[in-house]
Amino acid sequence: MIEVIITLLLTILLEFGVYSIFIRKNYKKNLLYSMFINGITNPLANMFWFLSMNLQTWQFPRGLLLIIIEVIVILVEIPLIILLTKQKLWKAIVISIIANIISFILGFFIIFLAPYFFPFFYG
Amino acid sequence: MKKITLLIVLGIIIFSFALVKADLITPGYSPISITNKITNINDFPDYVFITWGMPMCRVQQVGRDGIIPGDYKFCQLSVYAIKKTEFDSSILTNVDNEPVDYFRSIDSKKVITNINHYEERVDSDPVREVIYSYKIELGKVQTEPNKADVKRDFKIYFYIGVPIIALIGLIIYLKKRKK
Repeated sequence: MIEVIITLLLTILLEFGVYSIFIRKNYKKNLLYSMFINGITNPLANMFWFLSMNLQTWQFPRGLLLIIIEVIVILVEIPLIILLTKQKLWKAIVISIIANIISFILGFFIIFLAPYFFPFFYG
Repeated sequence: MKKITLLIVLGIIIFSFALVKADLITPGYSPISITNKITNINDFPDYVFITWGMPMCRVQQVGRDGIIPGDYKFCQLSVYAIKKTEFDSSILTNVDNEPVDYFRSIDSKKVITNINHYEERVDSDPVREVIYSYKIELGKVQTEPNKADVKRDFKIYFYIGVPIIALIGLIIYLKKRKK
């Protein structure tokens, strides 16, 4: 359970960083926006991913499934970014893509390495 | 107002997608961890406890920790108590013959039957581990465990609950901002 919470918190922080780079005003609001946006997309994306891991009969390539989930997350986040930050479409697309690529890559490495650095969290 | 409508529609789309996806995935069941344990096995030091059942099940010995070994998922396992003096350990390794005749030839006592040692649950089910405990009596055949400790994984509630809370928070925030 703890790894799910860590994943969400890391994603919120990483995407907050990206929002703050692109939208250089009111960092508190950027953090709030990151919480709203990732609070919606991250748990659902994880749910699809972990449910699909248990599918034994469905022979769908895992890598492709991961890419599809990430693309859906990016597509969902674009209108949310526009709605909250009032950015133009192209900028929202750029922010969403960069935020998700960074959070995916860094999150992957951090989660992969976290059990080695914080073994007490993982029993 | 248009923004709120857009947001609600977006929310409905996301959760519809979740439902459709879950509908596709729900045929995916996965086995959960099942442990069967005899809690008072040390009350019977003169007995050996073995498991066996039909079809195609192995004869296995229950350890002194009381853990009943599982088997092929379609096995209908039972536990038998056999006096140590009558126990022939070669029955554990002899896979060619079904041990029915052996059980008949000695004074074996069936103590547990219908052991639930394999169970699949839908992936969204929070129950991921069950420990069944049996307190046996030699003159009685138990068909139900005395106790079932269920361990749940609440991730699924997190995956569904957090997005709902975030969406509600977002709607409230946008409404307040509009004012």
